[in-house]
Amino acid sequence: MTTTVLRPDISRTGLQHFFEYQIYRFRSSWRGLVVTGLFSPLLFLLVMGTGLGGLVDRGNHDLGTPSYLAYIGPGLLATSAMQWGTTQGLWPTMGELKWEGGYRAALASPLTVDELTVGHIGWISLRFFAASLLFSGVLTAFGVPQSWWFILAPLAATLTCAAFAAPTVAFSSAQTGDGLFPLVQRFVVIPLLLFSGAFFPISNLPTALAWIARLTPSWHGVELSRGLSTGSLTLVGALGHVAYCGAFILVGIHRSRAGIRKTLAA
Amino acid sequence: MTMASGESDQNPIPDDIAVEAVDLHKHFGDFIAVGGISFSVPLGQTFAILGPNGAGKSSTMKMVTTVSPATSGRLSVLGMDPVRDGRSIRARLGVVPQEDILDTEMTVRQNLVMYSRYFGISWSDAKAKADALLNFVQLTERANDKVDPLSGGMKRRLTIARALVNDPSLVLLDEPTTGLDPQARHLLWERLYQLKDQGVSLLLTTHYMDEAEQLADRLMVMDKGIIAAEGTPAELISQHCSREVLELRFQGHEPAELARIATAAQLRTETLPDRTLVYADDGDAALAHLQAQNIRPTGTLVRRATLEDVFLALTGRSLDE
Repeated sequence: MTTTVLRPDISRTGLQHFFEYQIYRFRSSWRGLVVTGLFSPLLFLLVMGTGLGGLVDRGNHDLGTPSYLAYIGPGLLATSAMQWGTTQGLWPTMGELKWEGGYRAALASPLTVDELTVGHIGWISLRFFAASLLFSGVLTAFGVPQSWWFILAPLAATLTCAAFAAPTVAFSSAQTGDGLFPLVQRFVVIPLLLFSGAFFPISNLPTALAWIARLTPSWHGVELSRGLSTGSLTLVGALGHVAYCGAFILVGIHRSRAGIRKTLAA
Repeated sequence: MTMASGESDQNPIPDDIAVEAVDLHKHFGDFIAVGGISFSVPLGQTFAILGPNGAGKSSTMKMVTTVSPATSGRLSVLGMDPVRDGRSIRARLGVVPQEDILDTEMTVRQNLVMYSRYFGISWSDAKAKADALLNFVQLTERANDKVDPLSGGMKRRLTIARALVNDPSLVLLDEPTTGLDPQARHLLWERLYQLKDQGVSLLLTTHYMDEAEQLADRLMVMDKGIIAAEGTPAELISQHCSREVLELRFQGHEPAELARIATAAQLRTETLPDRTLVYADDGDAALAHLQAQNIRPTGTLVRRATLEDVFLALTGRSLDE
């Protein structure tokens, strides 16, 4: 073995090294992201936007957009953020903490639990940001955006993704197995997908349901993306949506940190 | 140091101590995993923690690796406080966990290079170190293979190599050879000897007595969260056991009069499911004495007393239970 004495440098943040490690790994798994960012939205836009949209546009509607495609396009961007954030927050978190244990190994290095937590949620969000750029490109190719503000839509969608990823990581890190995960998909993600205002205005819902929908970060994400696409977003409205999603992120990170620390110490 | 409330740090840890634990406790709710242990590991020495599953070995290791804070007591690792200086301590630690947690999406060499980056080691140093370590653990020919097809012994050696990327001052090994075949175990022991020769301190847990005897300068036997005994392997055997052990096997049950005859001859016995152990400084003489008293075993073996016998004497149980 070499006799050279290495000098570990822990002066820089471990977060940088965490992302570096993940990006290196990502070289073999980037194709899944292209499916999320490109093929899924293409399919949805073709089926829902042009197929179903053709029917909707023939009727009388007051969606505030020139076409149904322009209405659901930004909504689909936000709901795919929700789905990505939730899915990636469930199984991969359990994998890194328990099944494959990658984070156990990482925590034997100078990385801290705080860096692991922020890095994990950040990495889920960063990958979705890359997918959202592709998704936004597809939407633009379909002529969906009516405003230059749409250029901020990938950031808005990434915020939505993180607003779901952070609480989901907290939930996953507190579980001993993945038994409840399909139920989360079935009874949380699918209802949120349907009732977050992505496919129709929530004003069409019964009043009580509409108010429940307004409490979900997915509705705020949909409104944010759509507002940026149509250019109808006010500054106060935008800040409100960002703050609401931000609160989910902060509370989620706080709870995730506790869950990850407890799991890795057990 | 990690301090229990009300304690004061009146006795600074000497510079030549890698790990110092004083009255260390770890509780999980009402469950006491570690119930007040004190030990110290001098720099450059190999210290083994011995005990069956659930003895508190892994909980102790997790406190030393700074991952799990002590409930109370004082702990110093490389002269630093695990709670306050976790990052700095881990920069100088090598950790070999019980399971081989390797990145299956990377090659053998990439596992080492990328893990080095967690320590802030430059790319060029990381690559050079990876090659040297692969040579050290005899995996150079598998450098560009994925991890999954490797044998259990190879994965273990890679895990050990990964724990050495930062030239650690202290390496912690949790059950390093569990599940390995004898050949793989001996190869691994040989590498651990080499590390020790280079001045690296080793703290290992094991439930293999021969492993502790082979590797450890000192060891402590843990049982139910406390220290049952501590010393060098030779000290523990001489303190808690006779020099030799006579193993007797019988057809069916052991003769009822064996215990009486042995006691009269001041020989301690231990009845196991498949054999009876008779502790004696001279095993052959003890056998002759028993045969003269008309004890007729179907099989006999006189052997040197081992730490397994110490553990049996201390706890009344074998390590596999």
